Amino acid sequence: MELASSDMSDRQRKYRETYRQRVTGWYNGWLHIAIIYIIGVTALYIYIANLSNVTPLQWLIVPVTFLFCNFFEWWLHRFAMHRPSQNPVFRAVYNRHTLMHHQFFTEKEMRFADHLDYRVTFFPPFALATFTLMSIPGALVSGWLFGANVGWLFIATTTSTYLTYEFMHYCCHVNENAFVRWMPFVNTLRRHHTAHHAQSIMMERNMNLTFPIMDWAFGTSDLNRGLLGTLFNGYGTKHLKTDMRKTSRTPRPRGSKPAGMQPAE
Amino acid sequence: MPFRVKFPLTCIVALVALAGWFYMGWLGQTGPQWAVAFLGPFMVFALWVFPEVARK
Repeated sequence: MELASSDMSDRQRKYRETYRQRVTGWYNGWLHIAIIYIIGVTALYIYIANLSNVTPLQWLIVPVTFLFCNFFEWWLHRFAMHRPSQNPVFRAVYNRHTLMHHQFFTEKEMRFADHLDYRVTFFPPFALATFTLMSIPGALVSGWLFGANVGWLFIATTTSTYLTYEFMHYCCHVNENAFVRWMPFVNTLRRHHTAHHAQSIMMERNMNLTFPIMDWAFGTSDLNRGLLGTLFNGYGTKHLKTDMRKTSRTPRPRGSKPAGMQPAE
Repeated sequence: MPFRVKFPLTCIVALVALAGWFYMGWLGQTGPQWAVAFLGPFMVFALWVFPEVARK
């Protein structure tokens, strides 16, 4: 099981083959997607059914939470998913993302070979449960402070962001097609994320995985454009920064093997 | 995810779903109450459905 035509290096091909061989147990990528969206849509139904007579002021929690989620996504990616931590949970996140996902997909070959490869891209189902639990205190506090509607809108926005994240990331790793080529935001993220998979800049550029707002705000985008230009850039490479790192800056904790030698876990 | 993490997470999910079921009942929200009754067990199922990625 591998793509018939690909520019991937022998090293990447070997890694993908080894990863697939070392994954034991059954798996179905379509079921994985169904689980994520059944949970997400059911949860959204519960939240939205509890809304009643939302005032214009209460709606403001949606953009505020959206921006907070965008920052959280950027921060987690930049400071947890690409940093080897001593904390076992964060270390597991780093292993899964930097050592597996980034070797399985490189800027030379970003595509799934089939649904079994979804496992190395979608978060495991427990992540959605964890993120939902993490949102509950925020929903309770905002609901208590500003009214129940605000609490329900807060958690509806965090769940929606999670579903958007998974969808956008999935679109980055599918075969080229008219939708991903021409759909605004999706085409932007596809180029943005492909560039991020280059080993030389993966530690410091293009950390957003939905809308590159925080990459623009914190100067970690590989584009030299304003916010709207960054968001609607599409596949364009005209505005690429020219002062970016050309060599890899993958961290290697003392005594560890080089990243390329790490086995799948 | 190791068992020692996943099992407590499962318990928390189940407890939150139970609390949510009672809360929806207290609010008189019949539809969402049924949705919570479905969602709780389904999330527990989702936590365990796929085996952990491990070496052969």
